[in-house]
Amino acid sequence: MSAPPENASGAERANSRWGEILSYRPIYSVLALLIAWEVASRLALINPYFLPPPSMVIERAYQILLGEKLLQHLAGTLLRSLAALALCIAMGVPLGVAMARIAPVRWFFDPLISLGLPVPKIALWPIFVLWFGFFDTSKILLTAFACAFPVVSATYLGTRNVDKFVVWSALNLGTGPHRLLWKVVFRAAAPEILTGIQTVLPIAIIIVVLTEMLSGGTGLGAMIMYAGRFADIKTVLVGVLAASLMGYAMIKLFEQLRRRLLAWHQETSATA
Amino acid sequence: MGAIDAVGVSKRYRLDRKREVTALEGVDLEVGQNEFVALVGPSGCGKSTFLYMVGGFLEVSEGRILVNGAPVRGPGPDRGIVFQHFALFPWLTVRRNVLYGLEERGVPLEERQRVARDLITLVGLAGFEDVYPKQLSGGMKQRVAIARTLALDPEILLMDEPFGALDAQTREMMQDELLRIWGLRRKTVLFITHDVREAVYLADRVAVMTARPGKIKALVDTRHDRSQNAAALMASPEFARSVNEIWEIVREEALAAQRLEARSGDLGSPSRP
Amino acid sequence: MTRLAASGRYAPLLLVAAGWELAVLSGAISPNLLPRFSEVMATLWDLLRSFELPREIGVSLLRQMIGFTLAVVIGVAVGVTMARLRLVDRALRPLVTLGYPVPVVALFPVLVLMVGLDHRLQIIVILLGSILPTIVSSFNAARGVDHYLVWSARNLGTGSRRMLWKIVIPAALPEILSGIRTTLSLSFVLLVAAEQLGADRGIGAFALRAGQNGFYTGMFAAILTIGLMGFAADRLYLALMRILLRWQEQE
Repeated sequence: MSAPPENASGAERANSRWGEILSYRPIYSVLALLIAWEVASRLALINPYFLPPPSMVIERAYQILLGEKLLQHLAGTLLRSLAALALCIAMGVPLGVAMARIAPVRWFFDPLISLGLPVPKIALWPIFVLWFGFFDTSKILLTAFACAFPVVSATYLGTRNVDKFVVWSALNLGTGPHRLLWKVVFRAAAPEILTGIQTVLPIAIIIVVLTEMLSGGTGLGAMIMYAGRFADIKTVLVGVLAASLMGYAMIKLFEQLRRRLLAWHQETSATA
Repeated sequence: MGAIDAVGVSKRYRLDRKREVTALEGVDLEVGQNEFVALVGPSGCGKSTFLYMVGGFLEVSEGRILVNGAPVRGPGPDRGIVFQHFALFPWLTVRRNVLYGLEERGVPLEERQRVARDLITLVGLAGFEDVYPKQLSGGMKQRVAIARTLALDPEILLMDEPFGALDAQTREMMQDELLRIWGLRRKTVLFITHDVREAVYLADRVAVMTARPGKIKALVDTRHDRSQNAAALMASPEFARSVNEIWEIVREEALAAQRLEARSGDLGSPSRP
Repeated sequence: MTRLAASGRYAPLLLVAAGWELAVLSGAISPNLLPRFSEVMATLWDLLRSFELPREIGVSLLRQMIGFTLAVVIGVAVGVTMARLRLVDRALRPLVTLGYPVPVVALFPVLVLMVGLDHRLQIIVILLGSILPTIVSSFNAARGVDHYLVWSARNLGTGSRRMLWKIVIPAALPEILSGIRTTLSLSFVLLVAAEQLGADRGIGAFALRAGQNGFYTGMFAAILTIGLMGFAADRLYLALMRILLRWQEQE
């Protein structure tokens, strides 16, 4: 991959960087890798116990799928993740906007958010269990809580950094203070807000899976831990694969949504 | 009574707990109806600050600003403003940008479509109605900004170095465009620029502001024969005389500003956080 | 002046602590759900004094530092090399692309079977989980170096080798360091997750165990400590970053 031409915009340069990580071109190398894995595992070059050949993993996935258990677990993880994300956005975005516009709100929440960002939220798991039990509620709430921090932060910064002159133009053209927030400020901050949400998509899945691993029941995490107890590595890998694909699909779908919503934004290039 | 009457206007603001900056001190300026006044001065002298106060975006610390006899109370469509960096709404197309003010005012659909269409044609952007700002060049963006502001037909036009972000050729083209538009729809214009030639070319009168704390140092009449073409005008001795006269004063103030900076360290300007 | 302002900035935390104490004291929240703040502090003090907590903190920190340092050293080296040498890029890219969306914590049972339940397990979780994002961000940082800098250097006679150390790395340093900051907080998450999933030592395990045994003040104390560790590590790192990037122009 060559360096971008000298008059490439920042956006083009960004696309030539690890944007390709989620593009289709490396698929051949990936296939080559998978084939190498298959061969090495079958020939016992890698210990097939720890790293069974992909074909067996897929076979196992099919078996589990037939038993409908996989779908159940997948649905469990997916729904919890979506619920957590919805909650996080519904609470986080308004809070971020409020922080940017109302001084007392900012005074109170700014240290809390900045203090909380580097703290590993999963450490709070025992507290959430104590308060909300072992079932869905604690998992969804902890995930939503953990994802809220980056979302609030991104929303706050995006709203705060809206070009003052754009706001002044809107005022100049007769926009009332209420319409100003929704019609102008929010739209202008949308790119940053959507980026913040995009960042937490994989985080949501990971934390949901983690809480499932810690508490059992349904969900990919629970499936993985249960299989691990019986040293059923194939099932574990099926679970890992499912979680990875889920994350990948979610990011891709969100990117499409973002492109649609932000067609006007200068970073949305026509060829991406 | 002029369209804009600034009397003894001062602007002070607090940098932090200890330091206070006086951006403007006792500015007196009168802009007559349908007059084109340019305001020049060294960088950081407060010309933009003054404009923002006329626009109602900043508050006056002392003195008063009257627009058609009434004191300024916040921003409003009667004093349309055009900013240096266009400040278009990037999520709206050219047409939607121009329609924005009309929608806010509640103008009926047919009329506002018509007004927008006429204005987009007036500024020479017919055919670009459904394009997003990101696809436009600097000059085109500025034309959209002007069309958007003119949509509400303000009596007064405030322009904050509107051509400062454009390259030299586009700038010259836009200057003539502005004069053409102003000829068709006469308004009162207060135009900020640091380019003295531009000021003399466009304006009826040029006001020169001192270094910070800014006040009006001089007012030069630059009404000249606009019937001749731009090249001839700019080559004429009257033009050169006006430019030199004004440039001397600005230079003096620019040097004073440098000395001020060196002495106290740069304190920054209020409009650029 | 700034230090005073900085402490003033965190005043809302005192409000939260006060609110906490009052909520339980007034009976609005049951002490079974939320022990009083003062009691948690008291337990924290006891645990610190008896050296029980410092021991667990030490264990956790050791794991975190080893895993994190390895991830950073290897990750940055690989990332920058991939950005500079097309061959390495082509060879490693599929591995990175494939591995990136994989949640390492989900591989925990496999790792347990491979390594067993000891220190190495947590370190490997941290290492594996942190290394890919570090590679990606270092790669992007090295790629993003303004090529005018590189061309100027070449114009002044800099060879390829010196180019890397004298130009590319200093120019990419801000972004690399910023990526490492993210890796730092990620490493703490992985540490706590790995300890909760299967460890008998370490502060994450301590917190979980305390909860299971009904030792709620201890549980809260341990969790507060984890929070403080993450926060302190981040601030220390920021200070380090500031020193290393002294030459950077303030925007």
